[in-house]
Amino acid sequence: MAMRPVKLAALLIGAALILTAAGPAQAQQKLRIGITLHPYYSFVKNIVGDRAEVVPIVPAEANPHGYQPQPEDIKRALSLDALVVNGIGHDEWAFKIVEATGRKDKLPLIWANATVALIPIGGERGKEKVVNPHTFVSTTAAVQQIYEIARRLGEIDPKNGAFYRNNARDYSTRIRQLRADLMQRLAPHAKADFRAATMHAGYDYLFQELGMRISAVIEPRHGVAPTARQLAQTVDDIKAARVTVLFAEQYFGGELAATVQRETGVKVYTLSHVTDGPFTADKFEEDMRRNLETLARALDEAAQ
Amino acid sequence: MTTIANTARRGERIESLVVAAAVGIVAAITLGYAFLLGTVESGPPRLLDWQVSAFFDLGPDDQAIHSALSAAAEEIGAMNYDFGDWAKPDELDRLLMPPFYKDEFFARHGSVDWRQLGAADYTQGGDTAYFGSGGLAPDQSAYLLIFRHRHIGSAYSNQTEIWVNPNAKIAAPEAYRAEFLARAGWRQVIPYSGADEVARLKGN
Repeated sequence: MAMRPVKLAALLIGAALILTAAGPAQAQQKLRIGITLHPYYSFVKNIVGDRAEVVPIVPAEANPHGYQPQPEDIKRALSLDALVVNGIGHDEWAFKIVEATGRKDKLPLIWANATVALIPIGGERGKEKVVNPHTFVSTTAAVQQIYEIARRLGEIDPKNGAFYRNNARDYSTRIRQLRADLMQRLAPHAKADFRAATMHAGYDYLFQELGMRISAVIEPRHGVAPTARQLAQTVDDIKAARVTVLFAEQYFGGELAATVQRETGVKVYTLSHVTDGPFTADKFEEDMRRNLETLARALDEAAQ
Repeated sequence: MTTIANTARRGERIESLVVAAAVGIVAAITLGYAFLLGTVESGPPRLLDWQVSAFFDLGPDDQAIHSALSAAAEEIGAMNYDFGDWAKPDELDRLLMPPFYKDEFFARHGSVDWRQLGAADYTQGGDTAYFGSGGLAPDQSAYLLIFRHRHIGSAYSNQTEIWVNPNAKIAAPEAYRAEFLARAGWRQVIPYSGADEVARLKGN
């Protein structure tokens, strides 16, 4: 029954030939998809699985607000086959990086928000309506972006188009389940008079998809600290609107939140902007789960 | 000799004038074109009489339902592409898909009654429409999500439209042509999309 040495050697050589022929070819065919923000890493990784590489063009610890491109970013961007961008805020630096590579008109850009219906920043601001770019801190707008990214990746890589679309559907189902779980916890508070303010204008899409409204936003513009006069006005607005809960941003504006808390007596909770920490496939779901749990806790405690 | 020289000089002068005029015309056209390019409008799309802006014109309940419908349209269209049928509202409810999913969002935004009015034929094309009416929230509209499903040879497209009617209790429309809907008081909702914002920020 033992295999003859010649036959065995032939089999091994044949297997090696097949592997050397198929291996590098497949590796070469793998697209390198660049991303700018953490949620897009999760979105793209869940769409492409192991059929493409997902390449963050800036380090995980970089703060997207006011980031200055580094030479390493340009090196990374040189090897990309496509780049997924938010395009309406937070990743303005990506366009400088692409320009520096000399590939401005050659690198396919995937505009994640192309089909998303944008909404204005919440809170009462008179007649002024300012576009809110935080479509990535939401499950419903995330689903729309996931489908858009999958469609564009399918155009760039048609042989994997159906695979990407199936993965987009599975991933979207999980994200909808996340939201549905929280909605179950909201049910007992249906009639509650819950009035909330946010430090940062980052949560309008999230509040909208939960059927909730924001009464005031502290920052007058994204990433811009209010002047003393604007802060005094906001404190008055919070008191007048009988706001009891303030949602602060996890990584900035802590002192400002403390000031507002001291002046108004609101209870402060922190939400994640989903733009910090390591790039992982689960990052978006984990951070959004924490955000949704924080919202549920705030509602529970407000009801007591 | 003098006459010949004068004639030649006059000819050169005319030639210079013609060249100068041609240069002037080309420069004027170029400048005019550049001016027009520089004044191409960006920002929110211009609306026609029967259209309203999701960003500027809708109230909070209508805007929330419009956002949810936009995302749902993406998924319904993808399901149609892969499986060939059009999911019914109760299936979309089971799939936890807002605004069809009967959760707190559904309750807070008027408990709209959703129906599928028609379904485009998989091979022939046609229109698929989801009609939402009877919403109880203040100033709430009735809603219509239409997929205009068209076949061109073996290829096809799903063009999606969302319409609102200020009468939340209006009866279902009998036809979905834009002229018919506009005459019946329906208004097509035009989103301010990410693509519009990119055009405003970066030019077309």
